Amino acid sequence: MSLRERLRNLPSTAAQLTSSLATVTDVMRSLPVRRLAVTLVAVGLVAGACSSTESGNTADTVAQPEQTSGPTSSDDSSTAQVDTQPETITEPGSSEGPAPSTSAAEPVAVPAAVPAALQFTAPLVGGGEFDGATVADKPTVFWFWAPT
Amino acid sequence: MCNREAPSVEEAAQKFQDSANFIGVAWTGSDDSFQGFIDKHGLTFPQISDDPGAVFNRFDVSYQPALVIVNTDGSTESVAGAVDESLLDQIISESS
Repeated sequence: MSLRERLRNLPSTAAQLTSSLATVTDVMRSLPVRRLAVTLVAVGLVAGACSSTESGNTADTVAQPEQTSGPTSSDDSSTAQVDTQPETITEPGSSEGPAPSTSAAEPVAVPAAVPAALQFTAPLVGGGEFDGATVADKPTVFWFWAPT
Repeated sequence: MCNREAPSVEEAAQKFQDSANFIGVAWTGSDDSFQGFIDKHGLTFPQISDDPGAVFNRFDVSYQPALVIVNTDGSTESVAGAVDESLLDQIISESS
C-alpha cells in the first residue's frame, strides 16, 4: 500500500491535508532532491492530524471522568464506607466509655464499717424499720424517752 | 421530764443534721401514744417503737430520759437524765 493510499484512509482532516500535499507532490515530482523533504512534511502533517484526532479522543477521555463522577453509586458506596467507619470508631469509643466510669466507680464502692453497737434493726413508730447500718456514717444520738 | 426536753432535742437534731444522726427510742406505751407525743412536739427525726425495751436493754439504759451517742469508731457515751441545749451542743461537738 502506497503512502497516498494510507493517507486516504486517515480521517477527513488528514485526508484533506494529504490531498493538498499530493498536488504539491505532483508538482515537485520532477525535482527528486526535494521529494524526500515533501514526504517528510507530509508525514509530519499526517502525524499532526493524528495527534489532533487523539486530542479528540482526549475530549472523550475528559468525559469519562464525568461519567465516573456521574455514577453516584460509587459515592454511595464511599458514603457507605464512611457510615461503616463511625461504627468502627464508636466501638472503641464505647469500649473506652466504661473504663473511666469503672475507675470513677471504684472509690464509691468502698463500704462503710458498721460498729457492733449499730448492728441491729427495730420497728419504727408509724411503720417501717430502723437499720443501724444506715446511720454508721456519722455519730448517732439515741434519745430514750417515754410519752408519760 | 421528756415533754420538757423534747423541744431541745428536736432543735439539736435540726442544728446538727449534717454532722450527726438523731434517733428517738420510745418506751412504755403504744404506737398511738408514741405518735401523739411525736406530733405534739413536732419531732422530725425517726422514732423507734421499743415498748418491749429491747433497744433500752441493748444500750443498758434502765430509765429515761437518757442519751447514748454512738461514735463512728464504735465507742459509746451515755448521758443519764435530761439535757439542755448547751449540753447537747457540747456532747455532739465533742463526738467524732
